[in-house]
Amino acid sequence: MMAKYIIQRIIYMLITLFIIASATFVLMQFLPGSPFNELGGKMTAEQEEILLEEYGLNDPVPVQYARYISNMVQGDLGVSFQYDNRSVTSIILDRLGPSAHLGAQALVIGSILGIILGMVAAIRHNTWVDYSSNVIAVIGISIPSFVFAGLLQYYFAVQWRIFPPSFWEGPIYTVLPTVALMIFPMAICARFMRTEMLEVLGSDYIELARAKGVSNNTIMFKHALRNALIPVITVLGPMTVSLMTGTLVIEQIFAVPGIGEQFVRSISVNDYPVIMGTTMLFSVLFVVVILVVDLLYGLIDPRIRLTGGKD
Amino acid sequence: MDKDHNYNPEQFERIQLKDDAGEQLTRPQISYWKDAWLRLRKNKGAIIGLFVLAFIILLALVGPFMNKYEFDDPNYDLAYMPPKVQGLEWLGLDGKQTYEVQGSTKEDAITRGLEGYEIDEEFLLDSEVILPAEESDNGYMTVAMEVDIYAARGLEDEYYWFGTDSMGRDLWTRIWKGTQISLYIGLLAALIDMVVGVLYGGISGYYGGRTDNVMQRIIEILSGIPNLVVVILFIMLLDPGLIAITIALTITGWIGMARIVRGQVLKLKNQEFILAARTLGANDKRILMKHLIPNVTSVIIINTMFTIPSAIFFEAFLSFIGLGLQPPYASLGTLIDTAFDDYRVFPYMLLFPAVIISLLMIGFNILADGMRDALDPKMRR
Repeated sequence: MMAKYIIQRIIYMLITLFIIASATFVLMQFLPGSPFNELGGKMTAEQEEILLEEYGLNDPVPVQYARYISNMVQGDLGVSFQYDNRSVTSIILDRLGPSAHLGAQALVIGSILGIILGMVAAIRHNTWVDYSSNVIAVIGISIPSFVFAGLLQYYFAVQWRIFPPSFWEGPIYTVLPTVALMIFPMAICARFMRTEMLEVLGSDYIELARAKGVSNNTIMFKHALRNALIPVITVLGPMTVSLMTGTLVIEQIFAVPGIGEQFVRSISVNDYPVIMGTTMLFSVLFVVVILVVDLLYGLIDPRIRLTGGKD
Repeated sequence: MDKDHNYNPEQFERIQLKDDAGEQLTRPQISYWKDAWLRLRKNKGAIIGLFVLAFIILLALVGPFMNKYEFDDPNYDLAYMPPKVQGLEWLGLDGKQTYEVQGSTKEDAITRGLEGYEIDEEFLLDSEVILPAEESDNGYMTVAMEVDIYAARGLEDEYYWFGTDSMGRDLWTRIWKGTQISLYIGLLAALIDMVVGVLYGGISGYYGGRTDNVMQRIIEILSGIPNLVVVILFIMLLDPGLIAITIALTITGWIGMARIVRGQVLKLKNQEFILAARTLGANDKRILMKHLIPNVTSVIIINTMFTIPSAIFFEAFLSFIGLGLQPPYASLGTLIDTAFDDYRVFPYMLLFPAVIISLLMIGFNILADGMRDALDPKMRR
């Protein structure tokens, strides 16, 4: 049953990715201009012809399509228009490091702080602790990360000169971008955790534990926290999305040499292969995270039946 | 005595026992919507959100008419004028600008600064060394000089409430125009999501069987595509304009709504009142429109309320990565994006649109939270 479900999900995942890949290909065909327009008309028609031939752009569209897909499956995402002869794959791999570092840091710190915040809010339900945690959560969910990043940069770097305003040259440089990126995961975690915790605290088995005289700490950490933590896995999906959108803008603001910064730059110079390659990377990341979340959830909490009934 | 107890039946009137008296309501009946409103009114956060939104929407509508400047009227001589408001000088909205200039001595730095910014010396108000030469990397000292830029430009009687941008356009007018556009995109995207999602989810859930199966498989595949990717690809294909951005936001935006509506319809469609309607010969369209959709209205409204801020955010985000509206039009997103070029010297350019978009997002989010609690207490999160 489980195996069948996983296989079915993976098939859907592949169809999704195939559709995205095809869409990127179709889009490349429709986008205005040829990659050599940028050279400013300094090329003769013959030179352009040679280049088109060399890059296989004169082949019939189905041939190009088949080649595109088969290359992509092998991890070859084409050649960048912007950087001479650099493959998109190598550009992306070069820039993966800072993005992964920043994302992981923001995800881990953000979720831990969020879980603590949500838990404390639930334990001190309807006190000022709860209210201020709620306010933080609403602000974190509402304020766009680039606005937050801008304000952080202005006050902490430009005005008070506590942290460096940009670049990526050591741990101290990661502080501001991490804070800007983690605010959404933190808020969404805090909010979710609070609700789950409140629900668990109101349940019968907690009541029973109290009745038989279990100490408050044991109840909180052994019973309540454990059970409340499980559903928090489900917010990993939205968190991934927020990290992806976040890296695009935050890396640009803080001049972090990551994928997001490259992506925005590629958009501004119409470097289509890099844009499409990064798009594929984001899609794969997203689809895999969603799948992992669903599977994990089923594994950890046996009450969830993955296969589902006919509802 | 006993004689006095001689009752005359004619003096009495028999009261008919009313069978339905027990059913009568002693208090006026409260409709679902009134009930929801009473609950919403008790929610302080939601009411604050409502007022903040009302205030911003009002200003977005009347703001552009409140002064004499146009949103697309450049005046290059008056670029980067700081904000100045009559009576609010004590808040820092006094039209004074602080420039950071460098030079070998304090006097040298100021002379260079005044020359560079084309300001007469008499308008220099204050100056202060903020970074001595020994501590700087290039051997020059950094001096902050405060100037009365309005006087220097001969504009004692002009008031740019939010200042001007790099092309000398009035930011007050531009920001409220931009708020209008942001709101418009948010509302329109939410409306399209709602219509498509309700129809898709309603049909899928109501007909069930093979129709449902196929429609759900399509959703499953589409929902695997990250919103970010769809939007970016679509905007690259079309030129970024108001309509293109709105459509891009709705391509996968309706999926959430469709799923929720389908779930509700599945739950409702086998309940007795639907069976009764069907027995009485109502056709599918009537059952869908008159019975099912009204019963999922609250869920639809709640979901739509959450779509609006996320559409506003996404539009701003697109502007920020360079796929937004093209000048001279502006949304809050493009205003923030352009402000980033100069905000280290002219922070007001970033501050005002940033505060407004933040208030707008917070307002919509807490109002939506409140409405969810008020309309559907079971869904409380």
